[in-house]
Amino acid sequence: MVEILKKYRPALVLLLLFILIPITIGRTTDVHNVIIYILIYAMVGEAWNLISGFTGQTSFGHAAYFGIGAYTSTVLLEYYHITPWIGMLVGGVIAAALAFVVYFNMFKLKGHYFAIATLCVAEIMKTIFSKWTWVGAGDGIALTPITGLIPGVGKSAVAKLAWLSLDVRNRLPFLYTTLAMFVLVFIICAALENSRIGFYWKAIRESHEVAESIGINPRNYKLLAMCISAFIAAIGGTFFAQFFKYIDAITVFPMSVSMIFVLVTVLGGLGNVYGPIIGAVIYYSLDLIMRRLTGGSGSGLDQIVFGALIVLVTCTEPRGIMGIVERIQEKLHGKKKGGEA
Amino acid sequence: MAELLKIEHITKKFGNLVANEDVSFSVGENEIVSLIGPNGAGKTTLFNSIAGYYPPTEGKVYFQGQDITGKPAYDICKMGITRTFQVVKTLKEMTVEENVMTGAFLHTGSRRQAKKDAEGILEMTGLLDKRNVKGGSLTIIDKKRVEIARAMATRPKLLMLDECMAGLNQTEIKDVMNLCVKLKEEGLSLLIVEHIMEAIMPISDRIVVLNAGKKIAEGLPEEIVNNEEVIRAYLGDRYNAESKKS
Ligand SMILES: Nc1ncnc2c1ncn2[C@@H]1O[C@H](COP(=O)(O)OP(=O)(O)O)[C@@H](O)[C@H]1O
Ligand SMILES: [Mg+2]
Repeated sequence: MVEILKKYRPALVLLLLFILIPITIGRTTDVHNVIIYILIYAMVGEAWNLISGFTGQTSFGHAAYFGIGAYTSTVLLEYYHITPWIGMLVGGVIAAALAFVVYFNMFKLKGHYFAIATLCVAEIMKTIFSKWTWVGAGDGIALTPITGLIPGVGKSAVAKLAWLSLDVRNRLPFLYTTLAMFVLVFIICAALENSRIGFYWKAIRESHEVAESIGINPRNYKLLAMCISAFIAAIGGTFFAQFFKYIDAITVFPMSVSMIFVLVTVLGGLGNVYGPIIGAVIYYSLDLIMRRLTGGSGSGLDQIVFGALIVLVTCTEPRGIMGIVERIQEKLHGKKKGGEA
Repeated sequence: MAELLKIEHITKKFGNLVANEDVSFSVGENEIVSLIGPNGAGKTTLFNSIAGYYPPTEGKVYFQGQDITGKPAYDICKMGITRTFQVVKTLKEMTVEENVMTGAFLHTGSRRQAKKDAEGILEMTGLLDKRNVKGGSLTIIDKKRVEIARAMATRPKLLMLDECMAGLNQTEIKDVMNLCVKLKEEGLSLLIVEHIMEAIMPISDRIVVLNAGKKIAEGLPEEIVNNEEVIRAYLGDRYNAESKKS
């Protein structure tokens, strides 16, 4: 236990910052919004990292699962008055089931072909949902405030808390709920990385032949990675819908959304549990700073700076910022320990 | 001696090229069989057919009496056959210990147990002091050690080594030889593809010679070195030259 805490010390420091900043130096709605964004995209980034970072199967279509999560919980809440706490689980199961069906045979595809296939899946979802009248077609769905939706919801204190914590108008509780969910996702991903499954994923990433030679069925483990990944991405989608209070196909299914998950993770560190959160923090801090510098308008300057940063980081260190950090650590360690190793 | 592996009339064609033609032999329990032959004789191809990387065009592979022809490699590994690769395939982003642990996970879901299993194998293969080094930054010799260690970690009944001594110096070859003998003492069977005759002659129970895809001889090491056809096809210059050198 102590060993684990020691190993994940940076995570604890990060967690402390995420807890303290919203109630100290960042007590504005603007900062709270940015932090919520960071947490949601980092959460889906963690999901993407499982299949693409650890297992090495590049997905350019994680918006598909993100969107399914957003739509499922929203439809359940709006049409059937079911809490998003349940909605996110249902969305997760649907997303995982879709991933299973789609990729059951598609993992025969290698490299670029697989990546293109994932992209197509998301595009198909986008088209379906923008034409499907039951889910609002092109107009999308706007979320009614929960208190207005179900009059009796505030009866028991527990029920109230459960509802309210996922109602973004209570911004700070929503932020902390999102943080708690991110922490859970982070722990799950870290635990997976350190388990047999994580070892097998990495072996598959590095060589299918080696994997097979030591008794690993690559298809099954890729499928497992994809399903878990889709489940988590869908939960991120629910949080996004609850946060944004409005969804349509163009907002949750486009390639630009898929690319955010890719970019934050690649920037932060591909195949590293810290990657998505570090990448998301940098992406959105940059966004915030640029907006303040340019006086609020989306000037596109942040995009240019971010693009340049991605190019710079990936060219010098393919393992992203965490890769650079590890390299520095190894150097320091090597100097300190000398010939001990 | 009970038969562990038995291959019958294996033929493998790549288009017009016949890489293996009607090859049959067997490996007994607790036996070291070496497969020798000049480059391009079809040794690696035969390994691939046995280990399930592709099905042979014709012929059958039996393991412990069971027909395993055409079964996928991961299933064959689970049954007890593990192979190494001639072109070493170290898991580069993983440490030496993690490489070996990945193999050990075949028999345990527990990380601690896998670590413990790996430790014993790292010690046996002389890798203990490099356990935390990334696979990608190892020297070729250590990569070969990792290759063997990872395969050993799956605790196979039959270990197939594809030219794992090539490129090693005398002491290192001695290490691998000792390791092979030790593994045999532990009850394993080995099928070894090797070019270095001095290394395999003393440790092999039997030798099978391939030439141009066909089996041209099979027998005890001393029979093979005196076999006319083998000398003509393969040993001739090589064995004489190398024995003069040493
Ligand atoms: N996948 C393949 N496709 C086509 N030809 C191959 C393939 N693998 C091996 N060969 C050919 O089969 C022959 C035997 O090769 P190999 O089994 O690697 O020989 P060895 O291991 O004895 O040196 C060679 O002529 C080689 O070029
Ligand atoms: Mg070969």
